[in-house]
Amino acid sequence: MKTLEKEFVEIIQENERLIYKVCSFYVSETFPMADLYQEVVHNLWVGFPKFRNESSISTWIYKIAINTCVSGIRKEKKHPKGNVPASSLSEWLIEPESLTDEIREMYRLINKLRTLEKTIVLLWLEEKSYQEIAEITGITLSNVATKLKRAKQKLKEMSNY
Amino acid sequence: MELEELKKTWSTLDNRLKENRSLNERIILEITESKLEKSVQKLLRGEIIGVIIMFLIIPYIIYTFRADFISIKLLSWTILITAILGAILEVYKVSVLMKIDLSNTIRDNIFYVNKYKILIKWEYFTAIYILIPLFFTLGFLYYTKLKVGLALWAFFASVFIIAIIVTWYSKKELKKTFRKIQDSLEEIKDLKDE
Repeated sequence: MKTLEKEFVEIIQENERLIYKVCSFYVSETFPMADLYQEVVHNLWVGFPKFRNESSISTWIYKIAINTCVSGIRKEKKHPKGNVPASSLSEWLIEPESLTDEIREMYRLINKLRTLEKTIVLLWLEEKSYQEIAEITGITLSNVATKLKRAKQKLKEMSNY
Repeated sequence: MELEELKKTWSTLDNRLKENRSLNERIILEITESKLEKSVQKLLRGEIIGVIIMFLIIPYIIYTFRADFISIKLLSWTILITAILGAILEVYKVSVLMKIDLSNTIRDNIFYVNKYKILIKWEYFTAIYILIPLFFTLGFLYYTKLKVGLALWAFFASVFIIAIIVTWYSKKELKKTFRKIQDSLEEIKDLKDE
């Protein structure tokens, strides 16, 4: 029988790019990639025994990862878990800043968006449907459409400067 | 940067990440190692408590030592010898557990885990097949000799029932912890081999 831990490790391995991409959207000087990544994996591990397959595994990962990046890290920063030393992880993770000019420019633009807009754009880039975006972010379908339209407009305007 | 360009850049990033296969291996290894450490610490805590209890119990056993007649003399000596041997075993088990260290090779750690497992196996074997029946017999002889009342017989029976339940429960818990340790060691071995 597969142990919970093995199952979790497999899921993390299958979805590592997803977690990385979500984290990369919220990287800042205060919260470097390794810290965010570590927190997300930790929170996924904590929530994993309660995961009931009510939504798809990727939707569940998006939800936890986004919530952790948006709010969780601030709370957890006060009470570090000490599970995995962040410093020991950074060397295995790529900081978005070390990527190509185009990718850097993309992050520069995205960083100018508000948190919720950022999340919606991330999910749009991930080819998620409006329904899925609504499910992950917890906002209504019409709100998704409005906010995405506004975010796209903002991005377009910003890129003209 | 146009929106379509943004999407293209995003898929470039995605492709680059696809090439970076070992993105997660380190974090998974660290989580598994931390899980292994926690399980070993759990065992170590239990054994250290055992050592403290044993060293507190021995002076009490000596203080209450009685040799009025043969059954109580036998019972007292059996309790004292068991406590001394138990204390030595506890100290030895702590020393074995303390050797389990992540800086060691996996092979060494597996060796110490198996060594500890063998000690536990012998400990339970002795407790279930020798000590519990022996204490039961000697206690029974002692109580019969003293011609104790029903209340003391009930106490005697309760002590043995509790001893059996505690032995059974702790054995079950240990089995679970061993499973966790072995799984973590296997996982670490696989990750390091890759």
